[in-house]
Amino acid sequence: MVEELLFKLCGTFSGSGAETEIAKVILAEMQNCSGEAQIDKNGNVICTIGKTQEPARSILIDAHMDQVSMLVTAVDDSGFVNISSCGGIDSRTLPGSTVIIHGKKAATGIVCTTPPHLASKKTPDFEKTEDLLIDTGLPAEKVHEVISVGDYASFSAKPQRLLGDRVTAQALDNRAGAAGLICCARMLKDVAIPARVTFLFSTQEEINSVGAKTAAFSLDYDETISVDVSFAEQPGIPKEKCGELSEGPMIGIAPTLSRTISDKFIGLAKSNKIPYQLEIMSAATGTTSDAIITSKSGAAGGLLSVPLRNMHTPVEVVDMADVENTARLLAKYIMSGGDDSGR
Amino acid sequence: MAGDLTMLQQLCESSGISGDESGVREMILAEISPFVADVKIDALGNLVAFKKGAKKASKKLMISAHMDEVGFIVTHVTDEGLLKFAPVGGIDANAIYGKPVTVGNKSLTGVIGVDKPVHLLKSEERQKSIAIDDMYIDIGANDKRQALEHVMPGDTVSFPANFKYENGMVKSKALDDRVGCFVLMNLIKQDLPFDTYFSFVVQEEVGLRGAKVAAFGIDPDAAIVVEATTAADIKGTAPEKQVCRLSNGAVIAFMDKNTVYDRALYDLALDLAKKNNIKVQVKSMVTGGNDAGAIHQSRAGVRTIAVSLPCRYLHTACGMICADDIWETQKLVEKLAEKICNA
Repeated sequence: MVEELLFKLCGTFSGSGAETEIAKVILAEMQNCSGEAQIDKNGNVICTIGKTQEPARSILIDAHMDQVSMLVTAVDDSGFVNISSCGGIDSRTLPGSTVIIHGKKAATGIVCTTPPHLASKKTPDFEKTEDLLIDTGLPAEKVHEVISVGDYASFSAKPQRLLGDRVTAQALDNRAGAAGLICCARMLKDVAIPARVTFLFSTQEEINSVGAKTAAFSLDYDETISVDVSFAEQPGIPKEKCGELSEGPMIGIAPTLSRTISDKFIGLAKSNKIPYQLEIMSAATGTTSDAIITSKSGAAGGLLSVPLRNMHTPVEVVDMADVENTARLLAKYIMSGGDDSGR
Repeated sequence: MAGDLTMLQQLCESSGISGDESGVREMILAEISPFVADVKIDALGNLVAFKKGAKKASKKLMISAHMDEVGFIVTHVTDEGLLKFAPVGGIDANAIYGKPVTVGNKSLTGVIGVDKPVHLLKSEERQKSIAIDDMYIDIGANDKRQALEHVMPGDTVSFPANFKYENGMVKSKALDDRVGCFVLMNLIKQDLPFDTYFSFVVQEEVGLRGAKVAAFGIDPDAAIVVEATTAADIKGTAPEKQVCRLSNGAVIAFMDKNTVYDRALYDLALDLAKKNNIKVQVKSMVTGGNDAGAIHQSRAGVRTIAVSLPCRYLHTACGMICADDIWETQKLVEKLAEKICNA
């Protein structure tokens, strides 16, 4: 059931600045768990559950709902389309990929590759994204009719199951986190919660977290938890610099995060037998929590991350069990009333 | 002229890398059996069919297309449960990074993972190509033991099925050379004026091996090879280096990397195209090669011509052809066959 949710979220396009469709899908999901769910003027989905009377402790839970994608920058007379990346897409995965251009009508295109007779003998470098072309196969006049400069494009790769509980899809960064929040809200549906909890699904994290920044300014909260993805082990990353797939949510420890919150997560994971691992960072976390923690006069913050391979490619990989355990740990944290250390 | 592409779709959606063509062969065999007088499968796996025509031919003609496609073969399973692999046929390493693949005869989903996420690349690494030897396929296995429950070294890997027909263009993997097989099958289903041999051969992509033995076995006077050939008619490629262009019809060459084509047949092809209003174009570069390279050197020599279909992005996860070119190619092969048999 969580897999179905995650596949639905990954199958809905949501480039940074174009989160309208995913916002609708998430809003519908959250309306099943919360009476108060809305989309704000910046495209963020905001839902509140739990105690609504003051002076309940207020917890803001955030996951960004945008994904890395591409933008059409030019359409030439012969109908070939130029693109730039929208967010830090791994451009090495573009040549030979099939993409969807979200124009007036969705158009399938192929990212051009060098024909073999024109390739140099030694392996050539990857081209920069702005030097790549997309071929839709449409006649030039039709291309101009359907596709305009500024249209978004995404990979056409569909979410798929791998062995065990592992799945592959584009946009698992951060639909895995968003699915975790929805899953957590479902768990809390009929539970008395000793705090006021606001779920924020924020826009444009892949650009500059503008959704999280503006929503954080608008909302009042005593503490904040962000849920994102982080690097799982894969051949190019030293083991000490990443987490492991299937070993549970990564609890962030960083100078910018509240150690009290991190420790509380560790304690709850242990007492509830939820697998977990630690993600140690030596500066800011590179997630929405950086902005949310320092909004207005500041709030204590924590970070949970779902381990993920091949970040910002069309073949990101996560383990469903990690998504579910992230949701469980988050739900336990909320049910415990959050950071109750008295600060 | 338009025709039904259902069979082409079925051919393209089946997997059959060089040496593993049996699935494609079974499909073709079942489809053509009612229309041929004799059919046999030789020691290497070539499917050779004899089609009775209205008359006995004065020259024995072999019309050939290859069944295999490029892909990969699993060479090793790492302790981490990742699959090392080698390309089968000529594949551009830059065109496969971060792509989904289909593994083994159980058709497991796998992904060609990246070494490390783009976030962790130094700026000079961002455009740097990766050798196929340094890549791996992730099927979601936890470790070697779990991976070996599902795959073993020697298992074949192919690009996932992705056939799409829209706006007159076909986008798919394996168009090289399932489209040739498709043309042959269409001819077999028609009433032909003369007796003709049709060969659906194996292992073109690893050195024209099937065609070599099929030609020996058939012992023809003349041969027509039906192939997909590189079209480089993409933006930024000089016209003389484009080789051929989509929607400009069948492609005839006077020479490629393996063959100087029989000049009488070359002239005949151009002449027949003109007389019958068939769209034809001459390859603008001496490049590429096909089964003609093996067939024309068979026994004491075989007069050989290739009639090719322009295909963009050959040997990648998704090629593109123009459907009209299929029918032009088919018409030209039909006319050529009639003339050759009646010479």
